Amino acid sequence: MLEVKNITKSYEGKPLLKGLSFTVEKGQTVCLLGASGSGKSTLLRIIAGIETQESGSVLWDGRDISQVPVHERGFGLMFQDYALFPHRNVFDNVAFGLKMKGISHEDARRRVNEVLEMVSMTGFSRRKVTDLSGGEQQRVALARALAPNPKLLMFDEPLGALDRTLREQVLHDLRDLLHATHIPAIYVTHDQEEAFSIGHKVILTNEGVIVQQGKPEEVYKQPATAWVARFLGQDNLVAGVVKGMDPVIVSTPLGDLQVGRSCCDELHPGCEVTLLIPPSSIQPAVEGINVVPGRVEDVIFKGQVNQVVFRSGDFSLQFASTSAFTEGETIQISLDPRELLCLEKESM
Amino acid sequence: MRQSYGDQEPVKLPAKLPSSLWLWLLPAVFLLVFFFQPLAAIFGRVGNQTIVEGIRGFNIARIGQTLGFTFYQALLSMLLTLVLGLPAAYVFARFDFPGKKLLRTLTTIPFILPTVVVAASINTLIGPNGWLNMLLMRLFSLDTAPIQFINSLGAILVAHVFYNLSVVIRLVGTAWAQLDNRLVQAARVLGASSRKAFLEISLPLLAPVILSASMLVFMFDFTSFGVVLLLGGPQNATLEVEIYSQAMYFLNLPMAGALSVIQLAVTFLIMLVYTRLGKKSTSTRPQADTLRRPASKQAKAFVAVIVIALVVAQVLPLVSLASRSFTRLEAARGERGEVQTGLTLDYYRQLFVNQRQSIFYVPPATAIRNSVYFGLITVLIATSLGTLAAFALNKPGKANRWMDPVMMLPMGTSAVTLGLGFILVFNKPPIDLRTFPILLPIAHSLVAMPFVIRTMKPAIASIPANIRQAAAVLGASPLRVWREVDLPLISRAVAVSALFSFTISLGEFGATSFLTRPEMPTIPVAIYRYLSQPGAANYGQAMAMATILMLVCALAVLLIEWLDSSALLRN
Repeated sequence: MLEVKNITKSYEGKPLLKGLSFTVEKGQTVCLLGASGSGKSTLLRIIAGIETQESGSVLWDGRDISQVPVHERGFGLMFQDYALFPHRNVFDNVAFGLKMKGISHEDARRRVNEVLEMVSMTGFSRRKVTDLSGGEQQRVALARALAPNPKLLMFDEPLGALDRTLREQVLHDLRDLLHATHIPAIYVTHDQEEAFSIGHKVILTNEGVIVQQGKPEEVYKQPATAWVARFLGQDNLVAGVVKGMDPVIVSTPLGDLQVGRSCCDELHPGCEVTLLIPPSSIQPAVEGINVVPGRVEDVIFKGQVNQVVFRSGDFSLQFASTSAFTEGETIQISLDPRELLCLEKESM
Repeated sequence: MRQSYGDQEPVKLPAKLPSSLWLWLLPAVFLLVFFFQPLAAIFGRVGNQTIVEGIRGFNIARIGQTLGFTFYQALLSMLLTLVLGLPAAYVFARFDFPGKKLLRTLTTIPFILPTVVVAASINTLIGPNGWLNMLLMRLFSLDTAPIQFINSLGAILVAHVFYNLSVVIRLVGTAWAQLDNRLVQAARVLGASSRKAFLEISLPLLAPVILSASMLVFMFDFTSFGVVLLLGGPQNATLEVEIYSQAMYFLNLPMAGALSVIQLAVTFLIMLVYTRLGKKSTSTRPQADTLRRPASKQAKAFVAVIVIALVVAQVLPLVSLASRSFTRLEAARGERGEVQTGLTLDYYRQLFVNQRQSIFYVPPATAIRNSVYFGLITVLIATSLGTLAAFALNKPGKANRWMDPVMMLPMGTSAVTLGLGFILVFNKPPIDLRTFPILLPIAHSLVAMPFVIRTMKPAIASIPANIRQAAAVLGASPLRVWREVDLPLISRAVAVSALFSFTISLGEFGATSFLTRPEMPTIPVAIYRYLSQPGAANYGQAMAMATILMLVCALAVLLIEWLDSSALLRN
């Protein structure tokens, strides 16, 4: 359906997008995930036709649409702060795209009511958009984008302005809606939870390039680089040197650890790596492989589980546990080698 | 301006209006032909040999004296305006009291009043036949007016304060109200007394806006024409009045040109500093909870004193003018015996009667009709060209950096100079003023255009780019985006611009006094003529016309306030 090829764009002379390529398949929701300022929104606006790329192309069903002006692309875009027309009421906002298509008043009204129902905003059509709450405005913006049956829907940080509870609710509704309508969608966010719960595919961008793309689970379980791991909130990273192969042994400040997985291009004794220790690999244990002695530095109550800060020498690890630990307690943990992952050495 | 995308570059608008070059075309040509050409003509005259003869016939010392007096009275007027204006700004910014909104609107009316009306108002209050003198004469059984104020520097100062007080109240008051109150609170928590907090925090933060308000007031005072002409008397001529007398009475155009150049140089300098200052904005944050009722006795007394002072300075002259136009105090010409005094509508009735069979006599009703006619043409020209320029100024582009101040230049140019330039350029074959009456509304449009641009530019800029983009994504073509998004969102600002243009045209006196044809006077010109003739009937009719003009202006202020409460202070 949509194919983005080698898009580049610079901002004030500095490259912002350095040749990004990806595709969106039929009925698929693709999440662009990256830090603020990484150019994800710009990419979205290039696809929409609001901005122009410096090189590369945007293809729809194999046809290059780079020269098609924004108003003729037939895509839908939901803006970060909704961009509702302040001088029109809810109905007229939602009907705008239909009006532009020249759809008859009667048909337009039917369609507007239909989409307002989809977003649970029936009965709001005569209200002024400026009188709506943030969540309501968000729904109207969604209805407005949906109304003309866009070929592709794009979302630019659509939940950024909502508070946490509302966000989860809307996210859930949005997910149902996208999966029900089968409209292909691109969803830009900096929040991994949003990306994971809504995307069929997640694309991680950093400094203008795609670092990794794949299913949410894959990306989380097998981050391609230390940056991805950190971005996804996996902070248990330790520098090490490969000491032996078969099985791979990595020498780290925590001791020599046996490692079961690798994302490195090549692995040989003496090569420097960054080792990812997923919290799920950590178990309190007295004996076994990869046993690390240390003490409990801090226990943070997190509801169902406790976040345990474990320190061994100069290095600290965090993991979640249901067991009760006390601060200062000396314990031993074991790291499951099947879950430990070798990554390319993180450039500092 | 709202920039919604924190991590986004400012994006070029998808809605491509005709490119900014096309937008500039009409306003630029207009300015070139009707502003720069007349100015160039004046400069040309000055470079001319005739100037030497002109100056010889004049007196260098007199030029210096005039320039000195112009500076002196402007400086004094400005300082007086600040002395009353700053406390008033503070009261409006920080206190809530009954009638505040009404008082704010009433104090704004003088700013938009025609100078002729200002002069007339002051005259009815403290003139020889003004209320104050009559009161004193009756109280103490005097034969002559005890206060001889008219034709003195004092009268000029009073009128200037009356005229410009609202500039200080509006500009400084708004900045003060928006000043982040937490800064002062932080200073207080850190141990600053309220006086110290004012000196260390509020004052430095307000300094730029106080300074720019002062510059604006100074410029208005420096180029003041009608007020000085009508209240200052012959010995108190400013540059502007001198230019007028040189050109109209002594027919010494080169001399008038030379004076114009001096005046232009000074006002350009002021404008330059003013626009520079305008760029530095005070850090503010909108807030609603800083207004309070005066609580302590001191605060109550302070607010009361300021409110009374404002009523005396800003409202009393208006009431005085209106009441005078309904009152008969002296014998009309040819009337003998007991003088009938009391309320009367005679002056208004006489406006519509052609009393004298003189060729040059034009009934006031005709003047009103002329004014409305010129006003409407001005609205058309100034609003459309100003809006085009404002759209062009909102486009990204390097040209805007210097086009913006260029478009503001007419604001810093004296109207009398403009009128003089028009005569130099256009009052010769094949065009002459008699056959080309549209020159008058064109001159008015030049005066009004900067106001229109100042009103339209922020209105256009405040349309968030993403709203236009949203319309485009939903399938609206560029022209459609303009029609569906831009136009409805700027309609209020267009209405405000039209009102501004209309009132400016209605009250414009400087350029008008040069360009008006004897048989086609405007209201201010007619008022001036009546005021320069003796007799109670003439005086009464002048007051009646001035009152009508005042009411129209007051109505415009009310409408502008209602449409956009921030419009008046931007200008």
